[in-house]
Amino acid sequence: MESLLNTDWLALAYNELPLLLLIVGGTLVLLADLWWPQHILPRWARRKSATVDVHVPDRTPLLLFGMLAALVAFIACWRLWVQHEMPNQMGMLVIDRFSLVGGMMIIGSTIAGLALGWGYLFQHKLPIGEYTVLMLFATAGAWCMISSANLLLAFVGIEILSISAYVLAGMDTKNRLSVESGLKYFLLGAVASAFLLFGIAFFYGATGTLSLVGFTNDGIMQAPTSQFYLILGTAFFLVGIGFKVALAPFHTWTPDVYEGAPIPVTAWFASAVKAAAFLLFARVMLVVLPLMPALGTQLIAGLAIATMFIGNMAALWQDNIKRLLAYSSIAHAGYAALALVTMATIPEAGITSLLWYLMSYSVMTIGAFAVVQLLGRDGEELTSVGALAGLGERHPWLAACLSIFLLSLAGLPPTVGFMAKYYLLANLVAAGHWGLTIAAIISSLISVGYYSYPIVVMYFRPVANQTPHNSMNVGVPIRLVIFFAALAVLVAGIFPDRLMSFIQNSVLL
Amino acid sequence: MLSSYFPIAVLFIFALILGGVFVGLSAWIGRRPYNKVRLEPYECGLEPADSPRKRFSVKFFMVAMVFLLFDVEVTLLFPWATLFKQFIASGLGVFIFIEGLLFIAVLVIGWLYVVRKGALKWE
Repeated sequence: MESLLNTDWLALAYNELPLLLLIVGGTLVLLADLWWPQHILPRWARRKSATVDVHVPDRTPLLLFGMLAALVAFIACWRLWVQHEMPNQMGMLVIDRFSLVGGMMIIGSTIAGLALGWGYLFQHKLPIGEYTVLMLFATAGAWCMISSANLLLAFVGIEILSISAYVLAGMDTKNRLSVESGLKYFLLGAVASAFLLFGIAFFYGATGTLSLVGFTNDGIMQAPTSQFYLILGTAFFLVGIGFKVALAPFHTWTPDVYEGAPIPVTAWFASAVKAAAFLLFARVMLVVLPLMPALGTQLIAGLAIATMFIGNMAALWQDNIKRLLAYSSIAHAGYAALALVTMATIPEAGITSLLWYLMSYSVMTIGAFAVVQLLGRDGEELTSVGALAGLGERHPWLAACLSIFLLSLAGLPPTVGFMAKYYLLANLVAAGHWGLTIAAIISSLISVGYYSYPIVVMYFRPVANQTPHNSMNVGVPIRLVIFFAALAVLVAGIFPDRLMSFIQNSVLL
Repeated sequence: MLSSYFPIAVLFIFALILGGVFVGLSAWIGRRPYNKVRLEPYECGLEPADSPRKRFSVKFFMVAMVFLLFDVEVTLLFPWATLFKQFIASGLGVFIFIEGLLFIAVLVIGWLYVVRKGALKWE
């Protein structure tokens, strides 16, 4: 109670402004959604013309308000980043530049995810209010994960994020695949959460504290049993978090969930959810790895190799573009896990390359999913790669953008994907992991095979029978997302130094 | 130490004897007009063994879910109420009061959502 008396509540509110904005914004959208008018026309006009009554009012302003709240939260993150030279711990939360950069990354993905929902949700008759609310609350959960100094708060954050994500995956209740994906994600995710909690319990047994700051060598090295509990805890934690980020033996849910969920949600899963889980993973490994460097490195390296090869090999056989991008996201989780491996020897460079990798992956995967979403017709999503045939002639700009994103995912210059892989591999070499470097390069070469497949189809496969050209999904926001993502991929790929120094300034250990 | 558990052992033995005697008596004296209804654990009410894929209205699920949510949430007010006086004694009365109000406000927003979405409409 002494600490409560001495707490400076205003300072806490100021430092947690992004979190507060997300929660308050989400709550306001929720309430506005409840009292949104049910009919466009007033009652007296409705009786006269019954046909107009069919049209329900557009709830897109709610989406816009959600985007606004997220944007203000993003700016607040930026302001805090400028002000915070040193980490600032307040109770269970810690405000440092690492969490602020992570917050900007995730809130940026959320803004993009909300923008992708513009038009799509109305066309597919999905609940716009709930979509916005769940995304904002999930982002608040992600914030709790990445800025927590306590494993318990991190777990609460994971659950806020995951439960919102389960509902978002199964949101399209008229689509069987979406419902299936929601159920699968929920059942498997609940088991993974149990594993995670078990791991946290063993961490507590090993160290006697849930605070990540309190993990020190002293208590663990003295008692031989606590070393054993630490290994057990790490193993359970790896299972749980491995599920959330889709590492290899725990990845099987990914293709089904990514395929079934509505495309804006899938794009957001691949960027925001993955980044949040990886940042928490990094925060925990930052304190756990020094306690058991050899074993911890081997465990993560094994998972990373398996993930890269399984993801890339399985993607070679995919004909559904959503599944292809899902397997690609699995493979990229493997690459990002390699950055964690380097954290044992060169922690600062390891975290820098992880942030850099996650940031670039978020941008290019959102861009790729946005193009796929834009190509959907008449309320149907474009799924098969074969349907891309002739896109190079019909929509040269879109085809060019999709090619840029796919080349970036494959890691070819002059894109940001190449830069991310370059820093990653340079760090691996610097840390002395030659075997891992070679494995990453080989799996990268395999991945060029399936990333070039849609490009070849777009530009070189003749269109078999010219189907009548139906109206495309229109929407300025989605075009803006594609434009900015493509711009970011190219600019950050050609001039990476500004962004790189920004990230390097964010990692002060 | 162990002797403090002796009354429990007595209870177990007594329960065992009592149960055994009743079952034995009814088996010895009782008549046996066995039929389908007699062999069921409950002679009235729902059928105990049934298809698990039986359909019933989604309204029941809604009510059960809402009940569970609010039940669990209201439980969290108990520690708040019991610690209230201690907080007042240490000069944090306003703090704990506002905390409680915030918690209840969150519940009220949830309740508004349930009501406005028509989860409690029975027709």
